Amino acid sequence: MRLTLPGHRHRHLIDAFVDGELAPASAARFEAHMAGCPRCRASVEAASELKQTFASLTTVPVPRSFRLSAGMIAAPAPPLAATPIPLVLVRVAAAASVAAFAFAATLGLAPGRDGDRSTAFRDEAGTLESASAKDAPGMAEISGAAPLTDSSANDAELTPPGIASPLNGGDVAGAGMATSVVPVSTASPRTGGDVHSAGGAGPASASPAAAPEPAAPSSALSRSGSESTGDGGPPRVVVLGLIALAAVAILSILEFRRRGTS
Amino acid sequence: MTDALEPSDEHLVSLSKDGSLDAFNSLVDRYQGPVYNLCLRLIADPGAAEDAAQEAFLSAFRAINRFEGGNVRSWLLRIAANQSKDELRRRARRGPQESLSAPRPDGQSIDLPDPAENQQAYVERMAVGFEIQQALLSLPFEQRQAVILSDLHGLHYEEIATSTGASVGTVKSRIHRGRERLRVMISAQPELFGRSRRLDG
Repeated sequence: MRLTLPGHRHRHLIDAFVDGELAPASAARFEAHMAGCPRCRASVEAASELKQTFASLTTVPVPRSFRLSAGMIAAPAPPLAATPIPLVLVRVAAAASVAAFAFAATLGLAPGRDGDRSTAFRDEAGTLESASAKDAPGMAEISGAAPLTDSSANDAELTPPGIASPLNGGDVAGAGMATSVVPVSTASPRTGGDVHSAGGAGPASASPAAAPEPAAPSSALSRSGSESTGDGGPPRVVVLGLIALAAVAILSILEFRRRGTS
Repeated sequence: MTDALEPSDEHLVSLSKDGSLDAFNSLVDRYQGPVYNLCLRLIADPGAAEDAAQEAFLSAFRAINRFEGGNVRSWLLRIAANQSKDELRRRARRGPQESLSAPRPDGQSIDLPDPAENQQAYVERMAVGFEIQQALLSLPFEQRQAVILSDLHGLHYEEIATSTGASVGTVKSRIHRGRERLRVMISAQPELFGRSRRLDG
């Protein structure tokens, strides 16, 4: 059974002809063409039978009357029916707010407490090594630099490469992450040198200058978030946190309302 | 559709705009069949179609003052299609639902048997109707809507364009694409459709 005629140049006319939608002149020309074209005749016949097949579907009697009563029209219209809430926009806004808060919190809290701060390199196996003064000269002036814990593997991914570098006081090249470069002035006023990020380079391309002593071939610069519980974050963090909280709250309310009405 | 004794659609609309619920209910009586059947074919669930049809008339009454004239049936079918689309979205969010395409435990069907029809013919008609409904449901909503309005409701392209808010060219394209897909799907079941109809060229 073949219902279509691929490639026939009059295919686009067949449905319109069967539906009686061709202009009289066009219909007459097409009929003249069909007289000498068995393929078009067959297609028209097939299209007509398909149309009749669908038209044969029974019209179902209405199960009840849909007349409106005074009570129906007195009820208030559903508030969300006319203009559905663009929920996807709210979701994006909430996600962006939370991301902005996390980013700002990470940035803003970084220079807050010297005593808790440390820099380390974390290789792919999860081994964290404290950066020594030999590897990062700027660390020599920081007392109590402790090895990082592995409590924030996810935070490390959110942390741009420039975060740890201000503490080094020198150049850090080949940070090895493709995330954005953080302006030095924003990251920390204590920064003594330029910060470079190996834009687009993956962890495997980390420069030996930034790698720990036995330069692991694929190490990524990372910083623990475990010390980010510092006191007195900058006001912008608080503001962004409130915005994120509000966005998430709005999103939650809308989701509950949507599920409640559906 | 209306004889000399029945008020015209335009007159009923005018009275409805003045707040006459009786006049609007006359329109409901006149068009509830097409509205319900469109919802039923689009949603393929009798209960949900019933709700959508009722909501469509309620929405139409509330929006009657914004109706600027033209074909009342096309306008109502457009509202019904929008209600059906909303219902399908709600059902999609809720997950799979029982529908016409699935066997119903109570044996209820949208195609009621005709007492004059013999059992074999009825079974065949039911089987064909079931497959047609299945095929329709597999079409994208806009193509399904255009094919249903054309083949089941007998609307002209211009009326379908009014009902769907699309151009006539778009309507032509949707009908053509929809039927092409339907032909392919139906041709996969020659034993069913070959008995009563020869669809091949």
